[in-house]
Amino acid sequence: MNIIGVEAGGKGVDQKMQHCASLTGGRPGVLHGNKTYLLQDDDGQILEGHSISAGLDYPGIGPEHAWLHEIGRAQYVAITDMEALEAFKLSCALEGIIPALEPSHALAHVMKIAPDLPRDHLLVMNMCGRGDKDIFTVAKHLGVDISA
Amino acid sequence: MTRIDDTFARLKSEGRKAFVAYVMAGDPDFETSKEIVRGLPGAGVDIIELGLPFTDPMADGATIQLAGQRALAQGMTLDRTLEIAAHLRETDTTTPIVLMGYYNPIHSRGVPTFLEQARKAGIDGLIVVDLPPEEDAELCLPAQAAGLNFIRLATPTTDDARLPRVLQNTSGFVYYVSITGITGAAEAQADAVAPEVARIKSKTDLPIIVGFGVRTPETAKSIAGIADGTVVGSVIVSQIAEGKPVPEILAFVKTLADGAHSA
Repeated sequence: MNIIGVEAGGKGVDQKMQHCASLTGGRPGVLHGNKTYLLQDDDGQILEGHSISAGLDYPGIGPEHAWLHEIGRAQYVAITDMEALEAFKLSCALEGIIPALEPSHALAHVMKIAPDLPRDHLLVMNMCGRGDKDIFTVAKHLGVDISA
Repeated sequence: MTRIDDTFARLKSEGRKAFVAYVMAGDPDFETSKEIVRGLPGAGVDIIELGLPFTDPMADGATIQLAGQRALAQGMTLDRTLEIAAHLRETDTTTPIVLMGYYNPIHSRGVPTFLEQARKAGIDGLIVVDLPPEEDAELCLPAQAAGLNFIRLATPTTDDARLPRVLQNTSGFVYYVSITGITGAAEAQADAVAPEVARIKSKTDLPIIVGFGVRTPETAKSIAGIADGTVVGSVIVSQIAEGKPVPEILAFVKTLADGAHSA
């Protein structure tokens, strides 16, 4: 069984560091009582990072993920804000389910890999939260006025 | 024997309490900070606690958080923090400097490299508040092996079951946190702190310095009176934040030092 973890790629995992993909774009450090992968500068100062999803907007990652990453048991990838928004919209339109922005990242990755998998391949995605909390954020990013 | 051990031995022989002053390295800027630190021994400071700025200072209140932000905004780094210590060492070879901060900048540098650089800069001890005794192998033990003291904090919630673990690899002195909270908090009360200091004294021969919530010469005196000395940080940092000239800041520090020394 393959395990895939999807990190918040924000505006892109690059030198601008406007993302929260600690495993993909960070390095090991110590913060808030755990040693894990962190977004930090060369002097060990913590960087702010960015994600459209409040729940992923953190400069580190749970240490168990860091461990699974280091032993190679799980594979970690990054999904950008825009890709997560597309997945959010698709789930709303096709299923009538408003996903939280956090699992929208996972769904976006499913959309990337599923077309190339065999039809009988079993793929389980953890839809870990509901997105009614996120509708204001999504509306803002899609330029929709829902203030009335 | 480190400079810290020497200082406590001397103070004991003189029957005096220690006055420890905290300032953030690079606050309000690099040059002014160098000047302030160099002036502290003349203002009656027995031990200098030099803050290493960190973006996420979880043990500090707003005053010291802002000092760290000012310092970082001015381009403060670990290297420049050590330069401030080295600058003091050009004129002062006896006043101990304790570097106080958080582990990540040290971890990022690499412990062996950091320890070598800290020693070379004239640092005598470390207070790294986010490394519990369970992680002594990370920095505490290598630091002691390199000849630096590793000073640990005990708090009102450090119970008798936990205390031996906290004291086990502590050296130089024990820093007793007078309150359950962060720096710059409510005024410390000597009558509440005294039994706690006695409790720790019964378990260690190390000097006990009390800090957090010491804001006036009167409190410095009352707190120093029931311990081996006291630490003042936030009120000094507040003077720096107000943009006071260095001589005025140092004169203010002297009033606190005189308070502690009158105990």
